Amino acid sequence: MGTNTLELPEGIAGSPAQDRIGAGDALQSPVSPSVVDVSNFADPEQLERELRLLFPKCWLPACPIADVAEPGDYTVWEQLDESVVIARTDEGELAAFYNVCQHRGAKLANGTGHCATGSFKCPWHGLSYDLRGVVDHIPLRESFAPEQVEGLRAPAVRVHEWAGFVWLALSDEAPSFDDYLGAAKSEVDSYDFSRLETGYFRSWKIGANWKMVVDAFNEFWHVPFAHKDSLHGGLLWRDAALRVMKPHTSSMLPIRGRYEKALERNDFRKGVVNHTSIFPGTVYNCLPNNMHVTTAWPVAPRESVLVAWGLNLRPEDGGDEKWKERTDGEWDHFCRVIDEDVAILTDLGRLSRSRGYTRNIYNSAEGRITTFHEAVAEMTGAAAPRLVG
Amino acid sequence: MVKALVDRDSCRGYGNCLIAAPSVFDVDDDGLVVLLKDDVSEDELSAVERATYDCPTNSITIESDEAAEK
Repeated sequence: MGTNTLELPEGIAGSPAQDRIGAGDALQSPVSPSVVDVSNFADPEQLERELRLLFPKCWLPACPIADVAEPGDYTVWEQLDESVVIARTDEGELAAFYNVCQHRGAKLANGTGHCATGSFKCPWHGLSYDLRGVVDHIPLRESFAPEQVEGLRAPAVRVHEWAGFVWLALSDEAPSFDDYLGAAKSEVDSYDFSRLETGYFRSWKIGANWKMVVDAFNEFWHVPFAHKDSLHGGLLWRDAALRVMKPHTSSMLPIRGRYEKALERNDFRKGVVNHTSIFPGTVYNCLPNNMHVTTAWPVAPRESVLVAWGLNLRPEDGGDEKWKERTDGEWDHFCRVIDEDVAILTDLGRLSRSRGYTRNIYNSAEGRITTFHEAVAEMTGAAAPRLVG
Repeated sequence: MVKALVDRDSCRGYGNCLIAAPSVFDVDDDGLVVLLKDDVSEDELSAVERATYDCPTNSITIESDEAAEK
C-alpha cells in the first residue's frame, strides 16, 4: 500500500490553482449554481418513480462483508420495501435471493447469523431453501402441480463484494458493478480494506425525504455554522476540492498539519479527507486511519433512514486499550456531528410542505448536490436542476 | 510575537472565534468580536489559526511582528 496512484483533484493545495471557498467570487466547482423545486422532495409520486426507476438500476450497499465472512454465514438486508437474504455458500461465494417463500410469500429468514443446516426453512409450511435460494425440499410436494414446483427457487439478486461491503443490484438493468462505479472506484479502492474493520454501527430515523439527507452530506460549507462546536476549525472546509464523476462525486480536503508530510511521502491519502458519494445515497468518508460509510434510504416521502458504519484500520500490533479508547471516542464524536445534521434535517422535513418553501438554491460549493439531482432527474423523468449564472 | 487582528465592521457575531480560542476572543454586548489580549502565545497559535479559518466573514487576521514592522 502507499502507492500514490490517485490523481489530486484540481483545487486542493499543491494542485492547479483554484479559489478557496468563501475567499472570492469565482466558482470553486465545475458545476454552476442551480435551482431545484421542493416538489422533488415532497411529492409521493416522485418517490414512487425513484423506487421503480432509480433504485433498481443502482448498486446498493447492504452489509459489511464481515457479516457473511464464512461459509454458512447469512444476513438479511431490508430496505426499499424489500427483504434479501445474503449468504456465503459452502464454496465460499456470496449468493443473494429475495427473502420470500415462493409458496405464499412468508418471510424465510431474519437477522444475521450462521445457517448450520445449510438451508432456510419457511416457518409457515416448511419449504426448504438452500444457501442460494433454491428450493431443496417441499412438504406435500405431491399435492402441488409439477409445473408449480419444478425448479422452484427464490429469485436471485445480483451480489458483489467491494470496499468492505456487500453490494446488491435489484434488477438486471443495473450495469456491471465496475461500469456502475466508473472513476469513483479508484477514489475508495486505494484504501487498505484488508485491515479496515467494521467496529461500529448506528442508524437514525429522520423525518425528511432521503434526498434531503443525501444533500446534507454532499457539501462542507455548513461546517462552521452547523458544527460550530463539534468541528471548530478542525475541518478545512474552505479547501474542499470537488470532483464530478456523474452520477458519483467526491470532495478532498487536506488535513491541517498532515497534508504536506503526506505529499512528501508520496501517499496523500494519509493527509486528506476523501469524501466520496456513490450514487444514489452512500458516502465513503475516508480518513487516514478510519472511515465512515453511510447510506440514506427512503421510507416515505418525508421519512428516511440513515445507516452508518465506522471502520478502523487495525494497527500492525493488533491495537491496544488506548487504540480502542481512541476509536470509541472518534465514533462518539462522529455520531454527535451526525446528530447535529439530523436536528436540522428534522426541521427541514417538517417544513417541506410549507407554502413558504418552494425551491432550493444551490451555490457552486454545492456542485455535488446539483450533480446528484441531475442524475435523479435523468433516471426518473423529474425536472432537472435549472442551472443559473 | 504574533497578534490577532479583528475587523468589527465585517464581523457578524457568529462566534466561531470564541469557541475555537476562548482565551483570545470574546463576543461583547453588541454581539461583535473583542480581543481579550494583544499578543498570542505559542500555545494559543493553533487555536487562533482555527478561529481565523472558521470565521465565516474572514474578520480575523494573524500578524507576526516581522510583518508589522514592514
